[in-house]
Amino acid sequence: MVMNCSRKALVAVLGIGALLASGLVGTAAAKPSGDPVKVGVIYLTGVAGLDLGNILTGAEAATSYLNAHDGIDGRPVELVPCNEKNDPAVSNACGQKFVDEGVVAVVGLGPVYGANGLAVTTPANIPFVGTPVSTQEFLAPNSYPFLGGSAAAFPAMAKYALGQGIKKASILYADVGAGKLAADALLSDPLKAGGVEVTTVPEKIGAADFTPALVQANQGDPDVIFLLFSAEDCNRIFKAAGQIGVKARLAASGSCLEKQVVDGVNPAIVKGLFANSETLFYVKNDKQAELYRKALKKYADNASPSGFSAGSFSQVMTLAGIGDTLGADLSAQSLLDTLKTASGIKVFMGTELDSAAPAKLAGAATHVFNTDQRIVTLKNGKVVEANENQWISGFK
Amino acid sequence: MHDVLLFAVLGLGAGAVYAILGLGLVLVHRGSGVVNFAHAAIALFAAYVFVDLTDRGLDHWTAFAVTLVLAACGGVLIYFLVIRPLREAPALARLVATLGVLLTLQSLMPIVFGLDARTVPSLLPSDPVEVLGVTFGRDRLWLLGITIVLTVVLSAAYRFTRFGRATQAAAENEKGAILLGYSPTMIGAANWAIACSLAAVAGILIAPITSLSATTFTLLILPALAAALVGRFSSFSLTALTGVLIGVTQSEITRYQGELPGWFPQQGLKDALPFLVIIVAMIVTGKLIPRRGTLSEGRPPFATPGLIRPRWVLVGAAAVMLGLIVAEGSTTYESAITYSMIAGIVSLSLVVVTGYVGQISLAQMSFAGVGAFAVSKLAEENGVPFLPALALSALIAVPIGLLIGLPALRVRGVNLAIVTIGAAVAIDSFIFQNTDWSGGFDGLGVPKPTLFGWSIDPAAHPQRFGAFVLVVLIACAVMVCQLRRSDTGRRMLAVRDNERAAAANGVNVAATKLQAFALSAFIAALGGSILAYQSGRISFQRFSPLQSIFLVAIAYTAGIASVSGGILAGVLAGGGLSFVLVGELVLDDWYGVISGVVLIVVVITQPDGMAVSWSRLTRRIGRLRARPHDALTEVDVVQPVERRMTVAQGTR
Repeated sequence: MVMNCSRKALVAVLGIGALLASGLVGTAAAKPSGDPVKVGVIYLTGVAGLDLGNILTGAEAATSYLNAHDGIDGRPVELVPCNEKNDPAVSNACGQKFVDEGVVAVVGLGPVYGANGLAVTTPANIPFVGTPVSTQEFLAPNSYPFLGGSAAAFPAMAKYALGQGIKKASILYADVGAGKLAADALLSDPLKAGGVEVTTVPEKIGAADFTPALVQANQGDPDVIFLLFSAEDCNRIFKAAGQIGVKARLAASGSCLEKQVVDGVNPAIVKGLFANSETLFYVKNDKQAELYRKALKKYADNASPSGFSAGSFSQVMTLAGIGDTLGADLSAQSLLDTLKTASGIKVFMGTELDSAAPAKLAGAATHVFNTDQRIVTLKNGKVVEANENQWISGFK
Repeated sequence: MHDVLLFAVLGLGAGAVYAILGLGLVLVHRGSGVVNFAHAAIALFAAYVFVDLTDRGLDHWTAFAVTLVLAACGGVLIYFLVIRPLREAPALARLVATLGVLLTLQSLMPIVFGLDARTVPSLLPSDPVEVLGVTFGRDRLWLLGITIVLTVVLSAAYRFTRFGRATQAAAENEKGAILLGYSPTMIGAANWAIACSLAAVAGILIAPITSLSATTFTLLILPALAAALVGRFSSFSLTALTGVLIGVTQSEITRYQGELPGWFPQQGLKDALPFLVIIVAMIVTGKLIPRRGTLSEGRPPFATPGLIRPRWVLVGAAAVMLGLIVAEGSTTYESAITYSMIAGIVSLSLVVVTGYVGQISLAQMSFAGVGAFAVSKLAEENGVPFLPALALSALIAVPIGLLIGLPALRVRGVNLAIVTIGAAVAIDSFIFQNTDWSGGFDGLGVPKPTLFGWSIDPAAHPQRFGAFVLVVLIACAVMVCQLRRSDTGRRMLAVRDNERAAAANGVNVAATKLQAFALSAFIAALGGSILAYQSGRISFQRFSPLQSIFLVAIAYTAGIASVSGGILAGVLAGGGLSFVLVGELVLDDWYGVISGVVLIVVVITQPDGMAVSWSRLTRRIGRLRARPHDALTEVDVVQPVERRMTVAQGTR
């Protein structure tokens, strides 16, 4: 029954999103009661230099907001957080914890969760709706990420770069795991298809000095150097780029625009920098973004808005929208059934999820159903639009 | 040619980083005979202190001076609390203790300094400089210059000063040094103070380049260890030169990697190639039999007789099955119990190679990884049934074990430990992280196991799978017990105690070592392949070199020379039963700190491992019950056992 009416019902989520938005500025709804709806949150903290604690902050703010505004279909929301500690064994244990606690879905992001935790939650039919970072999360049958992650980010950035008329590009990628695959499939192939001359340079994560790799990537004076590294290494690459006088524009994932990443970096490097954003968290006149910022202020000790906290906030709120629609039927299985057939699900602070239109990588369909991205840059230390307020998709 | 020079110059920065850390490792080893795995963590901690002091308003140079003083005090503290109590202990015990320091410091840093990224003020001018037509940061050249100066100063100080000669004397013969009027304790403390100050200098100078990153600093220790290994942990100049050469080589690989033929494995080349060269160099220059003057290490952990007590086996098996039944419905506990048994199997491989033969192998998780990936290839891709897949994947690891065992024929002690970790890095970089072979981050799938048509899928039937793992664990434990009591086992213990004496008595030392490596690779791979079935999907992160290091640390504290110690190590392993139980009791943030401290305390107080100590305690209580009025001392109980074994087996 849920499957039959899901398409119709879920389009109504658009309206529910608006209701949620108005809820913050209006009066608080009745206090939720009954059995809590449990939501698993995968995140990473406690590892200096690799802190994704903002993911939990965003999910907690969304939960607090929901619990102050009728919860999900009148039931309170309870988070089941699990810090994966960048450790495969712990990630596996996180998956087991989610199964034991009976969560309806898992949100958030964990670098090694996909390869280790997802194998545990998949047999239990628990959908993963967090940010995908590993191919496992792009391909697993229970993976229905509300946001596209790197699979959507880099093709969108390639499309944006092509639109800027670039002729030469270099890709400096992490020499680990699927780094080369990502560099080739997500960036190099679409750029080459657009007539761009591409050079790829591998470098290990946490290299002692990024200068040699950056010099190699900078040879031949490319127009853009794409960086497939985490925020921590971005900071070091930016600094080395300033020292060797890189003239090319640098392009990186959205987390590389965080304040602490660009602190102390040559302003000339920052000026040309562009990145992706999966949500509209930085947009001033967007109602949902406004709700997110207010919720952070009220429920998260005035935490600064960031791409990571916005991502998890968006995931919990989107989940709440679907849960409201499913009502008493809400469970991991019903949610999964809904996600399998749904189209037009409005993603909070984002666009829409369409299960009928998966992104294809190297000719094969993935479980990425939302490929829209914004391209952003920094102006006076603030994240601003770089692409005239347009969503961009590397798959459309 | 221009590019060769260009990239050689660009590699000097990273090379200087490896060299300066390598100098600290040599300094510690010369002063106290310890290979300090915590050196980079000490450097990082000091850099954090420096940043914290500057954030509190101290000017850079005052903060630098204060940090050096604090680092020196920290060095003295580590020496007296951790290193000195282990002065007589074997090299492996001291190495494990430094792992305890590493774990403690790494876990303390986020608690003390927070998780926010911190900007490190640079004491060196970092403006651009142009050399050979390429522009880069001037700080790289400064760092190289400082490294050269430090190398010259340290070489001269330890060669020409009284303190240097006293250090040399105390390192070679403590009693001799005492007779000459030197205090080995004071010399050791002073060397640790200097080494930790040097670590602080390194941390503060390189942090602006590397950032305050635990990941980066942890990785830096490996090339630094390789450099120190080439310098035989005694030559400052050779160590510094090797460190710089590793940096230059990696930089050259960056330039020419893209021009290599497509069939050549390129992923991880920069990590692995320097290690492979060093391993070959060590094998070529090593000695088949140690020289006459080679100093014997402290007493290795007591190798228990390997007696099998059926009653205890039955009780243990019943306890495991009861645990699996009680835990039904809790995936966390079911999985933790089964994982403990799998980790126990892998730990038993260490009992053979390290406990019985005394060869420190830091590559056991690599063998486990070979088994895990092999089982995926065999079962998932080629449809090989469950039991044959397990057996074949374990057998596939045997030639790899023999290959990694080859250096052991010529390299010993901690040097072998570093060679094996080099091999582990090479396997990790070339094979495990290669997307074509191992699926990269996503890993490879493993089918659901069935046994004679009966599903033992760990997700659907955790008790059945747990029972199967229990049978394998018991089989492995019995096999290792039998080995201990066999002629081969006695030869192994003879080699462990004195290679020259064993060879003189007709023991084929080389064959014995290779047998141990082959068997341990088989057992570890068997554990790895079962782990693959338990996980359903297997990826390289589970088998990283660091996982191997921590497995050795856990096995040592549990009792690396006893079968019960190997099984206990499984219970204590990360992801195992104690990990889950303690994780629920202890504050999450403090788990690492407490683990590190416990590791140090156990290494110091229980040199034979927790399992052996427990066994002695229970035996003693039993005797006390039998003879309440005639309490025995530990000496009464333990020494006769060891004496009997010595007489009967001609070894210890």
